Amino acid sequence: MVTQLNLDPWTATLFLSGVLAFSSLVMYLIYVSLSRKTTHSSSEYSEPYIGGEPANIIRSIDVPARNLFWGIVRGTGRKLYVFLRDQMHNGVLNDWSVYMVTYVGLLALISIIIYFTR
Amino acid sequence: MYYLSIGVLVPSLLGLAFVLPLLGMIIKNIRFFHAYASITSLYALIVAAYNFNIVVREGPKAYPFGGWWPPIGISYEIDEINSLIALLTASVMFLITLYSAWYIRSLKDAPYYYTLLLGLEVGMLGCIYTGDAFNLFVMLEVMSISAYALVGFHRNKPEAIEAAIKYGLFGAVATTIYFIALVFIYASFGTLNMADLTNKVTLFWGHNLVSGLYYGQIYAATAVALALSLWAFTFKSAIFPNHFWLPDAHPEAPTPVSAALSGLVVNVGVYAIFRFFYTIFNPFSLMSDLRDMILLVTLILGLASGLIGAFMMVVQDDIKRLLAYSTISHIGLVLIGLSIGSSLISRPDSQAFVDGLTGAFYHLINHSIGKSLLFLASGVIIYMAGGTRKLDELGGVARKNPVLGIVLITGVLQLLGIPPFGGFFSKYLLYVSYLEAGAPYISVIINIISAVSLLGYVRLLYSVFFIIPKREFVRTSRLPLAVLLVLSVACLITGLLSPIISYWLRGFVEATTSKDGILNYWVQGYLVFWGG
Repeated sequence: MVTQLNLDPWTATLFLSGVLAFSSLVMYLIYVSLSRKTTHSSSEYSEPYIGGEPANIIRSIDVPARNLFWGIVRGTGRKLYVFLRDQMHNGVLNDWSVYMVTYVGLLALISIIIYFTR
Repeated sequence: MYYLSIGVLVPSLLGLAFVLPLLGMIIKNIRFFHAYASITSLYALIVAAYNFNIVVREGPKAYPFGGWWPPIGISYEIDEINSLIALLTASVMFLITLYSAWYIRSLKDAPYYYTLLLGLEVGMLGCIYTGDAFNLFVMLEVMSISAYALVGFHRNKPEAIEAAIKYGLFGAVATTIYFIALVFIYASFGTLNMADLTNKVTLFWGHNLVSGLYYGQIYAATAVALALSLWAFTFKSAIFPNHFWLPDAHPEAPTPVSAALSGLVVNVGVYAIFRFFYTIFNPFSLMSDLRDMILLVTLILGLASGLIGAFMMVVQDDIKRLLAYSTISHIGLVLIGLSIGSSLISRPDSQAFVDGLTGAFYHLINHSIGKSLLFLASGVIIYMAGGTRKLDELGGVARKNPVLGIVLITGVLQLLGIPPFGGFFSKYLLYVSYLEAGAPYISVIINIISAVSLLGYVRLLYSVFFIIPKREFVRTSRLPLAVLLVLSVACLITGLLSPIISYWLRGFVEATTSKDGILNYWVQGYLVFWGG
């Protein structure tokens, strides 16, 4: 037998949020109860394995997440950001004015077109 | 019958604000000024709540100043939408004023700070309540002048002075352009009263004898007036390409002021666009083709703002600048919702029309609460980190204070649109409205804006929450955290009560934008005073 739930989007979202929150809580409690209270360490443990190369060939032992973040941003949007940041949002009033005056000019042009084509 | 509370709030608040510098010459105890400003702000909140209650019970109401009936004198008129925005403004401003008691605890210029802060509130409430297009110009100036001075409040910082000058220069241009628009309107229609203008544009009752007939080419004059007004309103709400001032001005202002500017002041421009293009030049007006075209322009600008704000968020290294770009993105989303009223997109009585406007106002509320929360939280973060605003130097500050961490995550989830917070439901309404209107590509762009802004919010959370702290941070007091907790609870409530809130907002939108609602705006704001 199949039971069908007829929920509106609001109730469904709230219901799913509650289920997600409850599941997260259960998973967290399981994690806390199963995790080790003490850790074992050795000298071998603290040395990274880097394919047989000595440790001094790399700058840091781990790659910070923010490097990955910047890698993606720079890799995917360099041209976009050169324009957005260095040309458009450069802090120079004269350059801002070009966009703002163009906008008011565009609005005036639209008004004239509407007036003469109505 | 008219209610005194509608007219008394703005002038009395203005008086209470400008008596502060005089009191500052006599009283030297800074605690007095904290208490004075908080009580004054609470008074504004109570009166705004009372006015909202009047509208909910009895519908739109107007107040003619000095016994001069509209259109001869200035009048304030409240309806469902503006009384709600005024209540939102007064509520958030009350919390910002409480927070200010912590932020400026050792500042000698407290009387001047509170004068300007209350002046800003007066300007905002005046813009929202007014039923007169010229009084809107005056109140825009009151709000703007307070805002310029507050941006440059830290006058020993060159960056703050530069930001205030840039903001002031372009702000003066914007208000002057709006003034020129008013010249065109007055020269053509012979009136500046919003209710009277609504009638003369819609012709509910033909020409009336009090405000005169039409003059000259009203179609051409209206086209120019609407174009110029839109330019000024998009400047005040920081919509692309009139947004350049905001990322400079908002971060340089004192943090409570940044919260007010980003959370509330930008709403005034959005509200003015609504009042002009949904009440005065409404879908049933004689020149509805003009507003249809203008609303198409606002849709394009809203999309551009949403995308540019989101993209620029990602590459910011300054926590307050990141939040400032987020404001541009979110106001863009609000404008996308507000643009659905163009008959080129949806019909006035359609489901898409009501959903789009409901989503726009819902998102306006969610953004105001969420952005104020994040800006105020950033003030605590910057204080704990020793004054730095650089994300890379905040090194897991929120881990040192769990309450701060919780409120920060709440604010981010609210703005990002994650259930069960209010931001999800408002973005959902905006998304659905364009699907209903048969423009799914707009819905897709709304999703892209949210997805891109996620990168910026993740960067913020990563810097203040996910890095393990390796340095000592200053401890903070309980007052700012209490304010932040209240705003966090508000974020949760806007989500959990979304069926109720959206039901109410839907009713408000239908009441103000239907033909009967617009007729009622004119009747209550004009006709009742002349025995109608």
